Amino acid sequence: MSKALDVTALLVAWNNGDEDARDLLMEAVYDELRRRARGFLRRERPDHSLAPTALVNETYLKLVDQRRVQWQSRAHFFAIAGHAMRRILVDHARARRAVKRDAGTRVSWREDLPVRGSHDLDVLALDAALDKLAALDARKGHLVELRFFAGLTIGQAAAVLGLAKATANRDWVLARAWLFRELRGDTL
Amino acid sequence: MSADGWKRVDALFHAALERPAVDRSAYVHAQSLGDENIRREVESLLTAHEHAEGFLEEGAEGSIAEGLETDANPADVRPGGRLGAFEILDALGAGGMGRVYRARDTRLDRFVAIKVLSPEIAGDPRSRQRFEREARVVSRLAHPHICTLFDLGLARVEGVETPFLVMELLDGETLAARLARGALPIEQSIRIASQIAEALSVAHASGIVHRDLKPANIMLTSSGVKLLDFGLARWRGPVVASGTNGADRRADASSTAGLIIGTLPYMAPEQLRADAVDGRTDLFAFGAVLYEMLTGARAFAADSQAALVAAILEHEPAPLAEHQPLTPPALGRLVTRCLAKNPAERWQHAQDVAFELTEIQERITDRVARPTATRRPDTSRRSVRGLLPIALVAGLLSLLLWSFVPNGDNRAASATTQPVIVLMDSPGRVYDPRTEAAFGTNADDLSDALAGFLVILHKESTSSMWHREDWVRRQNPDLVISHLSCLLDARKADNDALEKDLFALAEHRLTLFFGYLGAVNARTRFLVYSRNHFATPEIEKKWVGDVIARFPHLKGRLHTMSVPGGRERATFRDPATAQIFREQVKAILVLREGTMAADLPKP
Repeated sequence: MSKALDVTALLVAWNNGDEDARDLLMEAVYDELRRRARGFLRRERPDHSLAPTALVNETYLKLVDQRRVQWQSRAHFFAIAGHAMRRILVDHARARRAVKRDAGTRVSWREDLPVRGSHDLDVLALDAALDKLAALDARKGHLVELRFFAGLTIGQAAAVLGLAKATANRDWVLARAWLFRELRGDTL
Repeated sequence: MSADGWKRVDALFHAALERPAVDRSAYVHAQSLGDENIRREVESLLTAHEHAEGFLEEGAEGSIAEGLETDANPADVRPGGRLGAFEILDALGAGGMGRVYRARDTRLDRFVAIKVLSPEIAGDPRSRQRFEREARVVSRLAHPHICTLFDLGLARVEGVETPFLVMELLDGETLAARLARGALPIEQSIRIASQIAEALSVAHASGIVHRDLKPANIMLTSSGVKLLDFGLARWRGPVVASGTNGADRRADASSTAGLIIGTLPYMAPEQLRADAVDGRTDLFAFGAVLYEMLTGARAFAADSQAALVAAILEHEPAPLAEHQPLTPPALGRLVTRCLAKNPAERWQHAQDVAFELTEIQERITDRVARPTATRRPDTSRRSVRGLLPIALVAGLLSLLLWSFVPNGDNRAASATTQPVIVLMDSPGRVYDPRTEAAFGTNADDLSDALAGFLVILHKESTSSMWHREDWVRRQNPDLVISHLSCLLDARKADNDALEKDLFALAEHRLTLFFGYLGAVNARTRFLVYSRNHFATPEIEKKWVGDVIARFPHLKGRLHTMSVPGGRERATFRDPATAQIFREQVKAILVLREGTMAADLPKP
């Protein structure tokens, strides 16, 4: 209860221009997501696969009193959660890589994390490529984060970024091609 | 690559994509104007694009980012497409059993809403048969407060013969959307509840039980309430359970056997036990909905589904009056009786509930139209002042003053909807080092100035700002009045180190407080007064400017008042000052009048 109230209040405060609230919010969302992800990451629930986007949504339902937040606050939440989810998966992949380094095993989501729907995607490579893309075009980097890590549709991500849907769609098509080349260029 | 270069790549990439694949290379060559870097980059991206279909898209599965959804795209049913004689115009959202679209009936040339059933329902012949039989019954329900079902259509969607519903197209918002902005005024709640009860009564008489009455299924339109999805809940699929926080979620079909149908926070005990349901089941949900309208809070809420189920089966919700002290006791009893665990102990017929609501409404109207003197036996200010501490000592959360302006000129305006004022000042807790508060308190002072208005006094039972915010929010006030210094944290006030910053602290807290309240309740206005802080009009203006700069949505809703006449007369016990204050409050409420009638959305 108190936690839900805190996150909701922070969202509203941020939406009202309180920039400090953003950092607090990031921490709160990150903690909750990591706590929820931990069970999956430790393979404590072998019968379940981790769907990062479902996790983000569960966390949203848990933390945010939806009756009290306006649309913009929901958008802010997903923007933050996408970023937090990315950090969690990258941190985890790094830790695993450190363990496996000697064996020279490639760390992919599929073999390392029971992640649903993301076959054979190297999360660290994606993270690095996303950084490169963001340096070139921050908006597209953000869009991918929202799409891939927060699980938003194009329409939703457009709403979060304040873009027309057609613009977001164009951004997505180019970002996707760019990342594909970056990550799968060897298959072309 | 430079930012400029990337922009050119971006533009050229998309321009090339609009051409046939065979022409692209030549086009890029021509348009890159000899810049080899650009040409290579675009061509390589175009090649990647050919292979990138579906790449990274899977990450997006499973999203239920409720409320952000602006598009809907099930295969084959798309805006611009057709479904039998219906031209699909745009998506309206996802309803209980499938997606809903705005459509045009090309035969009758009228606009309708179309709900396409989900394939899992459409695919099972027995489900479909039952669905069609029930749809036929529902289509005979003709009532102004039930969304009319015009027709049952059939079309192929993804290779499956899929029935779809053709319904009355409604303009407005759902009660769920309205509740997102907080509680509703009592009289509006009663009006909406009466219409729901009447609609239920007619349906029950036809043997139709709604089964899934909830705010999301109640539409508020300019012509009143419309109930959606009547009797259709049982075809929503195997199980619809809900999170504790609002959004419906379809539970894992394999984990539950399809026995439970409904939306958890509004489900009656017998539904949870999978016992037989009847009209009284709807009355339980009705009670939960009315409770939420009046309080802004769920009747049953918990952190997990299991706890929520336990709450519904075993616990009584907090009394209405605890959330909303203005609730007439009869209304509280009506809701309690709806929420009885045992159907035999509930109201037995929706029509009885409708009658009772009408009576409660009449009693309220009578009370407003014929104010009695007994509420305020002695109008001398001494006795009114004396009441406050007694009431507070008695542990009342708030004090309600049902009293009226002696000359009665406020009566006509209040005959319909009495504006609610929350007074944030609290006797004995006001800490303003610059104010001589030796005699009584600010609240005492204001009791005369505010005589004639419906005022709820906030007793500061805790120093938590959020607690106060929550309490005030639940009152759904038209106006919040506060002294500039009233929100000080008493514990902080004891701290010497902070003493000198007290005033700045108060300003800051009040700013946050109003900013927050203003964001969650779009109609509430705020009046801040100070005996001496607003020494000049410039200071007053600057203060307002600073607050508005931080919370732009308070623009036009934040009013200030400096108490005129110098320090020695800076008290509302001075009749002239009290009169000025009263006039200002009236002026603010009149300003609001124009928006009062707009509680229901217009087309």
